Amino acid sequence: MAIHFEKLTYIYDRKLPFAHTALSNIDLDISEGKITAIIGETGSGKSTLVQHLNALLIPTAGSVDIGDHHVGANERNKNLKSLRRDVGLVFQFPEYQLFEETILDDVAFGPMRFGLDKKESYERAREALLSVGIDEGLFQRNPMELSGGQKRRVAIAGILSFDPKVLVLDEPTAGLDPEGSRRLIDLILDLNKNQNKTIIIVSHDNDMVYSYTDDTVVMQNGRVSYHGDTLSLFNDSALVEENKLLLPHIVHFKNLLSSRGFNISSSARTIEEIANEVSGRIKG
Amino acid sequence: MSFISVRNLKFSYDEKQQLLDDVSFDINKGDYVAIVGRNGSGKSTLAKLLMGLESADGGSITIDGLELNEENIKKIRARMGIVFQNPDNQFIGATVRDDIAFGLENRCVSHEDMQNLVDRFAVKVGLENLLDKEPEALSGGQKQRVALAGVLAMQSDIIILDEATSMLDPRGRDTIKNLVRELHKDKSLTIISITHDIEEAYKADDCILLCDGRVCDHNKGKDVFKDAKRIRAIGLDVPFVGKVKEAFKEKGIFLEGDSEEEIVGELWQYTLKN
Repeated sequence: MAIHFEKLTYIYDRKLPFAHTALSNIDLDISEGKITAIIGETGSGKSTLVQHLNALLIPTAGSVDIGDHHVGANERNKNLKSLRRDVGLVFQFPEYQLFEETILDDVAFGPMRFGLDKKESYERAREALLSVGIDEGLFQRNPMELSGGQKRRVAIAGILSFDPKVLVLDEPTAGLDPEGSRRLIDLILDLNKNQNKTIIIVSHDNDMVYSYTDDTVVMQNGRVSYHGDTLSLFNDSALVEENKLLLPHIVHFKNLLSSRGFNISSSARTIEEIANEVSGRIKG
Repeated sequence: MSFISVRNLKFSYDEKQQLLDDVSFDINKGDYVAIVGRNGSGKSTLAKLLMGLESADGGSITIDGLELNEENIKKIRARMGIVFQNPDNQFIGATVRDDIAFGLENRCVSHEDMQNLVDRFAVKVGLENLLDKEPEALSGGQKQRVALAGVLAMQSDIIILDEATSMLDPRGRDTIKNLVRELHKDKSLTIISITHDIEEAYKADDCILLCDGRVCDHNKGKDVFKDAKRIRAIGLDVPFVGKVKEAFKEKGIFLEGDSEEEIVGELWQYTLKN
């Protein structure tokens, strides 16, 4: 599902003296089927932006189109339910939103809310749980008994169970241990590649962004300061500086290597790929 | 006796789970110590005990010869400054200037001295142009600098950073880390940083690793993180340099360097040999 923001402005508490403009005049197109990162300093408007994607926030001015769904300022926004079925939003620390007594009930809640019958909802829930790597034996357990990484995956299964076309994840790996992070990233890559889901990730982790995303949107003071190919952004030190970003470790390392005459291809995005190229050179 | 001495510290909220179990370590004056461990390892509990916010079930904490107890806490607090994870919880003043001065007012410092101190430390942390702003209007990194300036103005010689950079974006985090490193240069401050920033711990001269309420390693950061397998088994992430070494090991190239620069130098040497 393609996403199109048009002259979107959002002002918090606009009728009050401390009104605060969080987004000003955003024009932005996010491509279907890609993994797009949204990055920028704390308070730059990232979370405000993504909350428009399933109409948790309604624009103060302008509009956003998500596929056939249109959400605009001063309009009667109908059919929000079908929009919310198409766009699954995973908040920061989604595990705090688990509430049912068993894991299976928790995950089946979504599809039932969207009008599927009980039998199908539970079938979907099972599938979603297996796809995130939670096995059958845990289905009847209380969500609170799980580890942090497992809870996060159950919360994501709760979104996948109603099969949204767009998946928005806010800091998906924050607070997870490395093993949990790696499994979650594999899951996200798999959903994108094999189910063609459009994925949007809000993140502070520039290394993760560099290694795994296609496109990047940089937010600065409520405006978009860059939107384009992730590698082109981080491989260009002037652009990195201009957008007030920190260089990913991997890029710093690539630069060090090239200063010693190892020219690493600009498309190499993981440590493994770099090691591959360098060892090829050494062993010639 | 060392500057800060922690001996056989024990703490639990209930009998089922010993949050700290026989924790002992020493810190020298002027050291920069990183304390790391995964969630639930006891680092937050240890932080609270060091600040005197909780009292231990057993063992002792001695700071510059004074045992941390009810009688001495005021004297110790007077030289100890704390920067918390979320500085919003520690702002009091209406302006940055007032906020930095707040602690000094409590100490009956004269108005003139106060102004001098505030100005001096505002410059030191790069806030001189923001002194008349409301603390709330600042970015996360600027807020952490206000908190640091407040602590420095009090002439604290022990600073505890309680996950002080964890809520910042990467650039803000980098700025604060560099500032703290700069402040530490002349070794007049003893800094204890409770952190889950693996890169910071890796670079620390002194690093304490907590596992399930015990000290499982206390060494130079680069030695604590040397064994990538062990670090993963503990549930922590491996620093970037460690990951690079692992990836090259897979290719049959064994690297020794502790920094990216050293590693690139080694790789270059390899090309000369072949």
